[in-house]
Amino acid sequence: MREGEAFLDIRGAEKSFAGNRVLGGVDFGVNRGEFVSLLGPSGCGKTTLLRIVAGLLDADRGSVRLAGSEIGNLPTHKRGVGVVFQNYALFPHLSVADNVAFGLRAQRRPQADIAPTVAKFLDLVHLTEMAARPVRGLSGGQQQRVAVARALAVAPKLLLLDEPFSALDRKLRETMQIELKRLLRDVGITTVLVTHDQEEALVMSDRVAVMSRGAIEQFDRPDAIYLRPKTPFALGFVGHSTRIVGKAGASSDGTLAIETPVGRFFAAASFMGGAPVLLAIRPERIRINAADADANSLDAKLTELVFQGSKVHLHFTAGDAQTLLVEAAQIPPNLAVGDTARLSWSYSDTLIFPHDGTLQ
Amino acid sequence: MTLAERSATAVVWTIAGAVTVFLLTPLVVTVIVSFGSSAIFTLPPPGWSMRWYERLANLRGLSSALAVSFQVGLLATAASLLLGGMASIALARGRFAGRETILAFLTSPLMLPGLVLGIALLQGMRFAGLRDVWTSLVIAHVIITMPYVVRTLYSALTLFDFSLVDAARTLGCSYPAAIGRVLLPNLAPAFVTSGIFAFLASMDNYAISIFFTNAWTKTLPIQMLNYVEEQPDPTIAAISSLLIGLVLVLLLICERVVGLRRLAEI
Ligand SMILES: Nc1ncnc2c1ncn2[C@@H]1O[C@H](COP(=O)(O)OP(=O)(O)O)[C@@H](O)[C@H]1O
Ligand SMILES: [Mg+2]
Repeated sequence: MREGEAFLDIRGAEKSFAGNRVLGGVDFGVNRGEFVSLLGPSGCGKTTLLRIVAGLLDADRGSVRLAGSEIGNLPTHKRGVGVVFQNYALFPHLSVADNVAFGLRAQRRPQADIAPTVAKFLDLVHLTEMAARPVRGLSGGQQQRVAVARALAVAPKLLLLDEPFSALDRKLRETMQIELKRLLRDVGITTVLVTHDQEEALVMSDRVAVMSRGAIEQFDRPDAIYLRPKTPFALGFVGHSTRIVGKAGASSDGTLAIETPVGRFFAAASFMGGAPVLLAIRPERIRINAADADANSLDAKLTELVFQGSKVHLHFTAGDAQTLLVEAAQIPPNLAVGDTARLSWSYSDTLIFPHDGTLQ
Repeated sequence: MTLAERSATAVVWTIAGAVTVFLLTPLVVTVIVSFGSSAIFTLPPPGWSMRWYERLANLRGLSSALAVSFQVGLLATAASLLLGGMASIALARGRFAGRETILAFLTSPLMLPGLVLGIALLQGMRFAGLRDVWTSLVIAHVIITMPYVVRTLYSALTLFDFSLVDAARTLGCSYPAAIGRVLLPNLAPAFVTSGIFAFLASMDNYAISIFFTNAWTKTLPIQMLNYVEEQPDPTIAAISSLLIGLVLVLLLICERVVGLRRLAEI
């Protein structure tokens, strides 16, 4: 491998369909053994990037390298890239075991190895009893496991998962996410998961690449994506946030003053004075009626209280039309809808972005 | 069931019965006559005999015509399945200008009068300098059988999930191998039925074959018509009965592979 090259290393990948630019020069690297998610809204080009890596689609420009060698011009079957498709794409004319054996037979592995390998991977996904069944009658969760076993059985260098949980119901999805993550870690395979579900990406990944309109906006650890989003898009796509539009004021010692219609706030940032900025706070970072020193604060009226089981969402209004969302572990005592409360949050929890005049 | 519904059902069944009788009568008459002892077509026959079938054995030109028809039919069907199959995949999968036009063009021989097509093909092959009767005949039959293959395969392929082919490729199959291992087995019914229809269309064709035959290369329908002109006796009914038997066998194979219900949908 070259100096500084990742295990999967994509540089400047571009793709257009009939003049419509879907990928605009994507750089993306995944380390060996890592679990990375590509997170973005539907239509942002995730599947397109995945298909380019698998060789099912040719990029217009850019390079794709895997384990130190260029694979961009290899045919799909010589790339060593396994894929679990969104609809699983199980072979309906074959049994569960024959689906898992398919790749081994296609690659002409020694006959004596096939049965033990199939047995091993069926056991890994707990489908040993289903071996002889046709795939047609399987539940969504079982189908997904067959697809995973089939992809892993040929020992690919890299595994790509395209929205593998989207066909499953919510409850099942959560258990399957944990189970699949554990399984893939035990196997030790480098994995790229494509999803539009932020929770899924945060729960499963070592790192998350937030994608928007054919470009990666931020590529970081899940906690960093959540706590330190680099762009308004990353902020808006992952988790909730309270946003206030304002103007950068004076700054000193790395502390910036922001003038807003609902007061002056401070943040650890530096901006050119007068530039329009977007101030954002994660809702669980805002405290209600706390005695905070060195913190931003304002008075706001509680307009709505939404009980969500393990947490509570409180909607406040300040000034003319500024709404603020606060998340608390439980309903605060002595606070009713219509009451005014003091909201505060630390300087370091105050996120600042350049503002282009539109709110996403 | 209300009275109206019951009478509607009765009317439908009556019409269906009448149509069936109308369609089956010529076939039944042919078979009966072929086992009759009379040299002219009379119903009921004065007695039963196998003489017309015995005559088939040493009927001049029959076995060679049968051989020509079978060979041409099999070759044309195989070529149609291969070429039509590849064309259908491109048409079902590809996004390119002129798709509709190409599809309409490949299925158009079904819509053209046979004689028009025959003359056009004859002119075309003359123009291309192709003088060999046998080759011209096979090419003409590929064109005749192509619509049956493309129509059936195209509609089956538009419903086919091509991510299966992609999956096979990521598991180590080259593109052609993926087609062979995944697409073919899943679309086997469509291939079998379209192949059988193509073969029957080729066996049955008269209007176009007539342009591509000579004294030595004659297809079965042409040879049969010659017999009728020369000597109109129930020998021809015996041949026809055997052909009816062949069709029945092929339909039974279809039934086994696909089921008649789905066959009717194609
Ligand atoms: N084969 C194709 N031809 C034309 N447009 C395509 C094709 N595949 C994808 N697109 C377009 O590219 C964009 C990105 O698609 P995709 O990568 O599937 O998005 P995602 O997987 O993120 O939802 C979409 O606008 C889609 O319509
Ligand atoms: Mg997608």
